[in-house]
Amino acid sequence: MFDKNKMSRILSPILQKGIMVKTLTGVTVRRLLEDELKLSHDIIDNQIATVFLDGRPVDNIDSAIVKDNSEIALSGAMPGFVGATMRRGGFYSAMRAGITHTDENLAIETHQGLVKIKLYNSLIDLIGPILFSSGFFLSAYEVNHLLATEIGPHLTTHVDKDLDGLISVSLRPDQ
Amino acid sequence: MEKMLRINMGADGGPKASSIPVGEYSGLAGRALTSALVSKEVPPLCHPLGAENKLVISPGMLSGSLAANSGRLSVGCKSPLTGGIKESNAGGMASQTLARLGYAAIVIEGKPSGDDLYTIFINKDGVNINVDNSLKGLGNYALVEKLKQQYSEKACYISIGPVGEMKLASASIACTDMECRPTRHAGRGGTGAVMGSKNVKAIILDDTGMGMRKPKDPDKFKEANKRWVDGLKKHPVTGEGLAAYGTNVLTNILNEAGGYPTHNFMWGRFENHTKISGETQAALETERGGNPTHGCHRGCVMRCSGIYMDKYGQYLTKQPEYETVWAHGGNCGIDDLDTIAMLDRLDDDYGIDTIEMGATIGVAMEAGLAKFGDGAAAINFVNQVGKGTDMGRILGSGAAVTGKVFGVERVPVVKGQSMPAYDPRAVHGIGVTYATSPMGADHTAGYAVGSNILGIGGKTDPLSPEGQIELSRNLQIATAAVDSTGMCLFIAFAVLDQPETFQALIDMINAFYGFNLTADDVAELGKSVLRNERAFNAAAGFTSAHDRLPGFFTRDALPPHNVKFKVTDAELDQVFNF
Repeated sequence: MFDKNKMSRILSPILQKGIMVKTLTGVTVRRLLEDELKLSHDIIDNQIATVFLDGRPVDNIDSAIVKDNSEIALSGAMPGFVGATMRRGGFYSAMRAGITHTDENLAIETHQGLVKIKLYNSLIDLIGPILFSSGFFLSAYEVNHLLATEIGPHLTTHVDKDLDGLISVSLRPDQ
Repeated sequence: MEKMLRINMGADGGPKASSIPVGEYSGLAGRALTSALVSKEVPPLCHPLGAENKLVISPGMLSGSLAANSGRLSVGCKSPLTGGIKESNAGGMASQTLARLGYAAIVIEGKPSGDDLYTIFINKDGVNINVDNSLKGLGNYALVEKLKQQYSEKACYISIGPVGEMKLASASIACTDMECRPTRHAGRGGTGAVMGSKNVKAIILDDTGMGMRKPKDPDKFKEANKRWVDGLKKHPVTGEGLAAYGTNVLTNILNEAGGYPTHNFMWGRFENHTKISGETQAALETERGGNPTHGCHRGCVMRCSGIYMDKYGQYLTKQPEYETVWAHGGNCGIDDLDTIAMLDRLDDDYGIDTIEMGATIGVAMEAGLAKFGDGAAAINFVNQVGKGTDMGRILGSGAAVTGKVFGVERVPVVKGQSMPAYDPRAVHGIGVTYATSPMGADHTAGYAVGSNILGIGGKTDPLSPEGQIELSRNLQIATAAVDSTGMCLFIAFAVLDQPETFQALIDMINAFYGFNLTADDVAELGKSVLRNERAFNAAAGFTSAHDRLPGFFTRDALPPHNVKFKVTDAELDQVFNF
């Protein structure tokens, strides 16, 4: 068993840049977080203060739809006036209305796809290990880098033939 | 704090200090006092570096007491950078120390006729003003080391570096921190140049023998302070987030939002943002034996600062703030934390505003004087400013002057002051504050609690343009009030979300002074500060035409969201309708 703090330090740069997960798409952000990533209600409702979908701050995670190849960035509570404006549904959200994610009301079919997940600040330690246990996809370059670190011996990897250039990485089940 | 120290540097026979009652300024402190005094006593059309300008240094209402996070110091004057009124504030130990010495303000006025450089020593026994020309040209770090030998390691030092002595418009005033290092700066607006114009190199504050300031109702004060500290500690930002990563935790968020000004406000995203993020910075500091969790003054419970070590494990600088990392980092295309930390150290040592310097280097890079991303060139630019070469004096005069000299149109300034780390095209609300603040472009001008807490303003739909105007107005009013208490602006997050914590702050002030202030009174205090500042600027020649963003913000779309600043001039003119 290795030090979880050390794991977070090693994984932090990767999680900030974003990892790929194979998941059901065409669902709401909440459903993806809850059913696909298996995050608890406490994490979703109390710890994730700011959500970006494709680079736009989201106010309502029950209506914003995740598509194939979407990017989701998750953050804890942020300082600064602008940090406060980025919060989902916050009092100052109107001040960044020009970039806010808006629902397109399109009927999107659900199907398996790839979504990029980025984790910032306090959520790196909180959500990183959960994603790591269930596994995610990285480029070959990133996997080689990870295997060379102290946590390398504790990883399992395999190539997914359907995902060109991406390699599945997860923590060994005995860890 | 019922007395004020007035020092006439131009008095016959040499500088003269007199301690006098605060008189008409009684009950005021911090920004409320500096702005009231400057607007009443400084001729608006005077030259900022002339004898008629005054440098006012004032602790906050609760500074020097046991109130947590009450250590902000306000510095006011007519700004050599903007030509308008200026209040710039700093952390460190100066505010607490000056308040415990019993002074509501130090007012430095007049101008010596010769070239002699002075120090001002203040303790419980009085004031000594001495000529010390051996200090000429010293950087803030060497200066403080030298003065510590002469005075005390326990004293607090307010000083300028060589850029202040050269009276350049980007010069800052340094205040020492808990470790007696000159790391906390009243950076904005060229206050250091005004101190330099008075030939004052350093003010030494020694509060030996002085105790904490005593509240009028100790029991109520103690109880309110407990609620105050509990409120700060339980909030996720002030209790945990700031301590873990510092303010630079904003890098990833602004970048994700497409509002992170990159390559002199050309784009809204910086490709290598994760290399300079707060998360990466905190991990590096820990790895090198530094500390990502550190207060800038005693009595701080948020501890958003930190200690940055170089790659050999030696102290280099305090943890650079988000705005500094942005100014010298993404804005200049630099993605190396050690380079950014070195630039921060040089800025602190020479006595330069990090935001103004970084924005200026961005303009210089756009002019072709160096390539974006060239860290060595950026360090060379700052060294030239510190040494006062011809090029350095241009750069040290700020982004607006540099843009004019080198023919750059995209110069991100309002009223001559550089814009900080948030692109107003992505966040219109902050653009309204940048445009209309009496201070020039200032991210802290509209920072604090808003109408939802103070109960000021009407019921305008916040999604309408009128709503953006109203929010900015209320934020500016509330910020002006908080700047007068001496409280760190980061308390805003706790009072924003927790009305009971805001009430604890009011209860502390009331218990300390025997007042019966309500939220309405706090709002009125903020309004009165802004009225003073606006009146000064109007008399100095400012009109609504100065309350505008540069044209490129409304003309050029910002990638990746391709947004422009859309608040109209007519709407901007509605901000100050009180």
